[in-house]
Amino acid sequence: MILAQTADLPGDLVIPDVAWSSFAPELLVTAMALVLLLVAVAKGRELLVTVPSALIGLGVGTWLVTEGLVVPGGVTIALGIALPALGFAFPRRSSMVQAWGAGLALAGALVLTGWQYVAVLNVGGDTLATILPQSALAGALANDGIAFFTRITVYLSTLLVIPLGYGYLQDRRINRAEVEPLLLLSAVGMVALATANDLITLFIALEVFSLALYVLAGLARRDPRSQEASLKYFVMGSVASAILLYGMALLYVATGSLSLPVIGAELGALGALRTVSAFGLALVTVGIGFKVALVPFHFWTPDVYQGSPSNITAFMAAATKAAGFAALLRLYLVAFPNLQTLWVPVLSVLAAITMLYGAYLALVQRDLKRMLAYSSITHAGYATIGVVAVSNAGLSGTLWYLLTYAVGTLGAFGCIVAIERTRRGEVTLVDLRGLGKTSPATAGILALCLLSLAGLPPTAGFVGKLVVFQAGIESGLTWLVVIGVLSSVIAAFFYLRIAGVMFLEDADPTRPLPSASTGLSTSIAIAATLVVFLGVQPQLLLQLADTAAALVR
Amino acid sequence: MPIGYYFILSGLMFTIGLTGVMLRRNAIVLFMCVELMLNSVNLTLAAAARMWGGPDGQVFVFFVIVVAAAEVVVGLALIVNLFFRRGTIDVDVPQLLRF
Repeated sequence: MILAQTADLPGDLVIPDVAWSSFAPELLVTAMALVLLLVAVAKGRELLVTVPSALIGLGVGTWLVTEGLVVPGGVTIALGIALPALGFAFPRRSSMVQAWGAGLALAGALVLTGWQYVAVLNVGGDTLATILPQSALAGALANDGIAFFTRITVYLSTLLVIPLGYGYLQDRRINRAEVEPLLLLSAVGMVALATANDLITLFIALEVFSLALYVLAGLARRDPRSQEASLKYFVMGSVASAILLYGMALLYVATGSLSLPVIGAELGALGALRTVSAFGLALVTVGIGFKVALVPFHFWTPDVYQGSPSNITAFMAAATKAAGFAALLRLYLVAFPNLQTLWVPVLSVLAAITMLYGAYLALVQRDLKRMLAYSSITHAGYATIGVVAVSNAGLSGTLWYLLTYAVGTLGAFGCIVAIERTRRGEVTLVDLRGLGKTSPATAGILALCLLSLAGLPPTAGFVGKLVVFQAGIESGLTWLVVIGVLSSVIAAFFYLRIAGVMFLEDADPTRPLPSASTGLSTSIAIAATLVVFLGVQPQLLLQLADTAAALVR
Repeated sequence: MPIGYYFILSGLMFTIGLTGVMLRRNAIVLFMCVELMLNSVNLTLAAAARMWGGPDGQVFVFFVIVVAAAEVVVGLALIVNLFFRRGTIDVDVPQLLRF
């Protein structure tokens, strides 16, 4: 059901149809972010805020149900009831209410994504197909496979990050009220980036999540390292955005359109303006390469990952990468297919350098977060193999790879948070000595997640690498895959070194043991379960990734 | 006036901004250079909108202005905080994150 009717205005301006159900998950999460901000502002008078918002939720939910949108309506009603209940249940622990509210909204968003997915797959003859058109806002948003799979990855990562960081933020006394709303808003920005089908939406979405992340990186206001990370991220990020934007403007100069599919078609029939569009393509590559940390543009990553609070780093690593690659996939496969002769060699070389350089530098790091930052750079290289394969297999491979990377890295950062909680400052290799004897659970899960990042069976990371490498070989990029395998071998060395330090060396009895709060252990356990489950039973979600790739127009 | 002049001017502005970002170390000046880059984009978009004769480019300009304003809010807050902490806004001075 299309809620806003098309109306012809005087002249040739047309108000586009707004198919609200196309971005139902984002609406839910945005609404929750705004409500949480309101609750935070209304300190001590939570009921004044929660009761009206509950009434609004009930009203909107009932209306949605009567309109035939049963699932989103039901979720909205449940949310409306849950809010004041939470307000009553924990009147003195507003941060707990915030975390639960954010978690519920994200779980609801995941459910809605599943509903959307089923609705789109049932296109043949089902009425749902008319509820959920493949594009909304006159083509500015696309509801295709990239969007669905990135929704799953981003919302899942955010959902795991909230309990993961709850206790940690309280320990460090930086559990300020804006944490959850900013996390939710940046998750929405990331998903919007994955759905964006024109340059304006792409740019706005990119800025929405980047601005939220600049603030989140500097969350520990008393910690100079966090401040430095935030400033560096901001300076580099805004320059990268400006470069990307200039590239977009040049594409508009060359083609006269902002819509990605139209740009793609126009670039095929281009004569005189080919130089301009090539220049635009180069600038866009720099800008987006910066966001996903491909090697010549990666220099911000180690500093920012090391300085930010660990739970924010986990979020950046897992979700930002997924969103950045979603935008990369859509830009290159939808807007630039006709410039393949230009960008495939460039991106392949970038991927090769990224894999080798990241793995090499990770070897010499002592700080664990900094090492994982270099490892995240390496993983950007592997994911790029799926992009340069320019095939459905490569597309689904990249989407799937990002999910496996997200669960592995979330688990690893969760363990780092557990270790970091009981000591001040950074976690270095020395801190891990003998952890396997003093705290086998933490050490075991950390080792499992690192094995997944290294790509050893039977973990998720192994299947991820396998799928991406297969796609690369099918597209004749054997040399790139060989470099990928080589880099995995180098990378396996430093992942296994950590495991060795934990299990083979003797413990220092004076070191405090890691401690995990309930939320932290829950999300580490979920991440570890997913690492094993996706490694042993990949068919279910791999099929999803395949259908997702087929859905992309 | 030929439309190409606008593109040349905006290209120059962009280059000046980018050079400034790479050479200057004062956070405020750095910030001004980023704004210069964004404004060169605006000029390009407006000129291209004139060239192609559609509203798209002009609409984009408005969005860029809004985003630039939001960036100013976050950026200035970070810079002010930095100044209160260390009494300088030289971006090279805080160097704790090295390996």
